[in-house]
Amino acid sequence: MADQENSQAAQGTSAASPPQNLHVALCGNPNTGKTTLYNRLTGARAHVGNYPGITVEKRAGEHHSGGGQRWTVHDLPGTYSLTAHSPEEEIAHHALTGRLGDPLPDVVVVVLDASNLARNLLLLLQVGELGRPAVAALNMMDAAEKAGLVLDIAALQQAFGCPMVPMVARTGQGIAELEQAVQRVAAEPALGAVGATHWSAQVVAALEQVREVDAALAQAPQGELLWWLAADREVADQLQPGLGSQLHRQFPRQAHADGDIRRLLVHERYARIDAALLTCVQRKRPGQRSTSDRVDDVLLHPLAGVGLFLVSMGLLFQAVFAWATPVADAVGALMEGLSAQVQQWLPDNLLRDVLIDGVLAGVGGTLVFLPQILILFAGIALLEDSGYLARAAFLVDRLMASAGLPGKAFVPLLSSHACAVPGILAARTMADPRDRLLTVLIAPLMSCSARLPVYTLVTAAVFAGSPPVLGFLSVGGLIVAAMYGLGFALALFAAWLFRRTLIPGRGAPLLLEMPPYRWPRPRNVLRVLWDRGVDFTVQTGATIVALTVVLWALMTFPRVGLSDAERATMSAQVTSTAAGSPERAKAEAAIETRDAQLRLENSLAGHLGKAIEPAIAPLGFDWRIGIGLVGSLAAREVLVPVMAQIYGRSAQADVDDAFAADVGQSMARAGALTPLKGLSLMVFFAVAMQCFNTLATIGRETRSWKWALFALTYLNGAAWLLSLIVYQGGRALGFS
Amino acid sequence: MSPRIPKAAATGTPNHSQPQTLADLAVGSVAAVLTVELWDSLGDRLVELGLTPGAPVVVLRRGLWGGPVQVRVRDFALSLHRAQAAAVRVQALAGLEAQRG
Repeated sequence: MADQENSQAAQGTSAASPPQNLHVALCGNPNTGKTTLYNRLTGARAHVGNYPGITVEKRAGEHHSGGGQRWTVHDLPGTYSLTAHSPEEEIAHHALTGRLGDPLPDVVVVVLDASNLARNLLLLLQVGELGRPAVAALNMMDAAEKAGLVLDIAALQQAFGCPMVPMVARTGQGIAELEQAVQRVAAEPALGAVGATHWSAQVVAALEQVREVDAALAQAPQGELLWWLAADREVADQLQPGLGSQLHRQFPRQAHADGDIRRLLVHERYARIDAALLTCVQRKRPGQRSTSDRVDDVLLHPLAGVGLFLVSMGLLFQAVFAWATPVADAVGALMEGLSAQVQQWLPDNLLRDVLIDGVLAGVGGTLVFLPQILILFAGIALLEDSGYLARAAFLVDRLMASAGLPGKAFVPLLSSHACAVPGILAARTMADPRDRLLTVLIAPLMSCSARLPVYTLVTAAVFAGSPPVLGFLSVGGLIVAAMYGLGFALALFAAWLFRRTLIPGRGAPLLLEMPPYRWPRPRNVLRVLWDRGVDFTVQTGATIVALTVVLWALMTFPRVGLSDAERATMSAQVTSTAAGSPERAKAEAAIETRDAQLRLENSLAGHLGKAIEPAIAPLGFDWRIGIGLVGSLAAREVLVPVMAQIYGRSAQADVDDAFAADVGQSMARAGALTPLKGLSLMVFFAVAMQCFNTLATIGRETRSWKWALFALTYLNGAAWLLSLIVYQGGRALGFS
Repeated sequence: MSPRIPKAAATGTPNHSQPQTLADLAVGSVAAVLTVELWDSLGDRLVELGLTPGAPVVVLRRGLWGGPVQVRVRDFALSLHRAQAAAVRVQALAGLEAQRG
């Protein structure tokens, strides 16, 4: 996309004057404020933060510098190294060497955490070895100062060669100086050269051997040989077929620290860094413990820390589960009011129906998730911005690791108990794409709040009369609790299984860094809320509206209701009653109810329900429940009004417990629900993926319909199998 | 496989006889890294994060029930799984009861 600028930039660098279009790459360790700097430079409106989607994304934005230059700023993924052992590192390396189709960066800004220089400088050395002119941004100088570190900038510059610019990206301090340094280096690339490391004889000899391995490396500069020597075998093989394998044969892993050439490279870089830092950094208060350390003594305490963790997660869950309801109800009421208005404005025809029951219902169905999503993301933004999320992940790591999940998967899974849609969005807090995918795939197994009306329908119908267990525990309550447990246990099992098959990953290596505690910035939180809200409403909302219209059509056409003869018979009954009497009102309502019942039964969804009956009969479900399953694609709780319609109960917009119980009792009277059939239905709803909102969100977040279809298949397959086991097993044991 | 804390490390006597790993050290112990005995990309990552031979580490925290171990190495707090910590061979320098006192 930036190809026209490419040639221009290339011409520019060869001339003495700085090029008009600069390609500036930002790279750095995670948590160094790289994204903050990127937002400062580009105005932040370029993209949603934190690599949305499962694949690593590259981001680029425009910056207009003081000198009238236009920069294209490329934000590379945060990495600790460039040896390409992870997809992020591969992208960063390929971007820095011009292998991604973008032009070679004119200047690489390496963002360093000034309070944690040694580890950050390792990356600077690697960038320098690749030969790109660099400027080091010594970010978070305020934190370094607080920690009692005094940096000798001139000495650092001397030790490493490239310009070093002290700055605080959060406040914008030092941005102008960084701009000037980048312009100087762009005009004279030699200024940005990072001084080479003095390698030991052992390394120098190895590099000469590397040079002889392949003709392509015969003329390569030393830095490039260094990269090939340490590079991931598969990545190297992709770049130069066979070369990675060849190098790994020639330099096999040696099981002791001094014998392994790849380890030696890192050791010698660190030796140089340690030596330089001895003279460049002065410690005013050695051994002093930071405020964060002291706060961690409490928040990571085995007792107090776990207690506070439970309280904070309980609050978050409560907020998503309960506090969002009034707002969601208000949104629902608003949409209902709008529907009523449209009903008045438009004549009674199909267009009106599709507008109200398709489009408006879909828009309402999208907006109703917004309060939950915004509350959850406000909570997560506070947790993440303050630094607590990393601590929470530390506390639950042991539990989550047993299923091959990282600690950070906890928040998405917890929120999925309210609703899988915000829960799946919350998976974005995890940096590793494989971890995100795994979490997204199992999140729908958490028993969400939309399943509760279904549980109520069944328990009220068939378990209400059972005597309490131990005298005080209601059977229905216990069974509902068991459904929550079933979902959670299955999710852990599925995660464990997928880790060993589909998404191997590297066993979720926890290499967690704990960022210092900070006060969350309202602007950051608001920006996250805005981005997430708009993204969900526009992108996922479009899919939800489309699917709602399709479902409406399925449940509406071909519109075969009461036959004329039947209607005439029923009308005759109406006229036989006294005008204005309650009997007449009842008889009139009966016509409408019967008509709606027939229309649904004869609709495409009705035929679909009957068509799937052979598949669901072994689970104890008849075709009526089949229609209910089709209808509950919109949202699980829709099962209740659909069943009401089929069983000829009057419709009710608000699905409350009493209504659900009433519908369930009608089903029980008709023999469609027995304790065993009810249990089978609950198990099916606990496990199955029926909700197309979730499906649309998975498709959007994984950027792949393949994974959405996979989730659909494995969840519904598991639901069918488990219900089959419950129903047939129960029958074999003599239950009914 | 939850490694018990060796008495010597807990009481503060330097222990030179038996090889130790990061997973064995009590909270507050100071040690020098010997090798990272994981010869794959994960081991390389640990070395790149600063666990090079001779680097001093302080054990900051140990998670419950065999949970992660947090250490300070080169000014930065690194958390790693107990199994990974068990692959980092160290030489205990002192069993200081944290730096709190």
